[in-house]
Amino acid sequence: MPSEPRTNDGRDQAEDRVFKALADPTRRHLLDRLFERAGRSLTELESEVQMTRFGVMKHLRVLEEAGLVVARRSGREKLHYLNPVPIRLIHDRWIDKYTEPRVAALSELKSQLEGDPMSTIAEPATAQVYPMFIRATPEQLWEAITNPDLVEQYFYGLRIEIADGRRRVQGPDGELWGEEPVAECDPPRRLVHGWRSTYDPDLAAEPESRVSWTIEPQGEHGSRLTLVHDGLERSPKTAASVAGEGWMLVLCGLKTLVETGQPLGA
Amino acid sequence: MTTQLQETAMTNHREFEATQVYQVFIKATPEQIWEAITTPEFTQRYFHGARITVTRDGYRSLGPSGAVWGDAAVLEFDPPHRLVHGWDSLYSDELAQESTSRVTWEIEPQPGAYCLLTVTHDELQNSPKTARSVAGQGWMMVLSGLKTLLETGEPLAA
Repeated sequence: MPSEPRTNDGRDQAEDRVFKALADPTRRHLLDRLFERAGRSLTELESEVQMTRFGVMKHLRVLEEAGLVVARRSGREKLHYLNPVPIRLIHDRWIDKYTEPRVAALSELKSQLEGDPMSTIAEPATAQVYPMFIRATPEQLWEAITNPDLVEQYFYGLRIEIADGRRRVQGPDGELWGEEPVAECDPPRRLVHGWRSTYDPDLAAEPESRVSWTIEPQGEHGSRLTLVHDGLERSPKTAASVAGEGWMLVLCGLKTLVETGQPLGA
Repeated sequence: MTTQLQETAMTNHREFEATQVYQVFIKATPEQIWEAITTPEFTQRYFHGARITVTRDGYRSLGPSGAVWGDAAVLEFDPPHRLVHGWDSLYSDELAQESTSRVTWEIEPQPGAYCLLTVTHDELQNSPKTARSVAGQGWMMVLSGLKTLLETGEPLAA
């Protein structure tokens, strides 16, 4: 196939925001502080840098816009958490590739030379399936998926409520981030709802896709939770963003919480 | 890693994939994960009862009855970061006929007290039956069990 210019505006813009956010020593310093210990308030962070409260807020906003910091309301305070995923993606895209000569990179180069654009940017799957085995009863898993107090402990700090045929997602300040229809709700077996990545304007602009949670008892192996994210045909950026580590972090956090009573990151 | 993510995604919509990538986040140190992967006392509690011993010199897996389930070369041995070994499915006469494939374990600490464990099972292009048998749930049951064992001290299977 002749190579056509690839448009990848969404990813480019997201990368721009991350690079800009990282191009400032104060912001890098703030990230280091959050790396050392997550869940810090503005007042705490302010004491770490020689800067006015307003200045720190401005920097935190840039970091939040780049997706590097997630803020979450806790009582009267807003606590800040590091989200390492965008840096990881930059690392994978811009650093890893050039430092680790791996077979995959070579085969990419080969197909690039041969003019096959398909294998240089593999399409993320339009139906993604994630099975997870968890030592819990189906009822316990259902509770973990539908109780907002439990969900926020593993779902990037978001508050998610399922009621009246809707799935409502609230941001850290309690503002409504998104609302999708619940297509199926069959406790403790199956929950199906619409998906829109409202945490990122670029992704939120794509058509709604679909997420299904299926719980099946496995006898001595506890239960199997299978998450399927499909209907992603016209939402390639969303598909790429949730693939692999995106959903696995949620599902691993859920498993840890159910089995140990503690969040993965604590 | 981007390549891996894409391959992970692709695993999902083909009948079998010659490169399969599985990832789990585990609340444990790299050293604990390494030990759980390479010593038989741990592996028998999450790897279908197999007693697996991995050293620089080789990868050896024994079934609960003492039958040889795996006997392969160790290609890379870098504790507690990276382990690469051959894979022959000796536990099944049918699968054992297929070519040797390859399994890579990578342990990466994450911000917070947990690690990302990435298992890549590749070089499966001439081993379609093995590829299908380990795909999806096969590896995920093992990795789910490993995570449970490390985080709770008890096996997933009661």
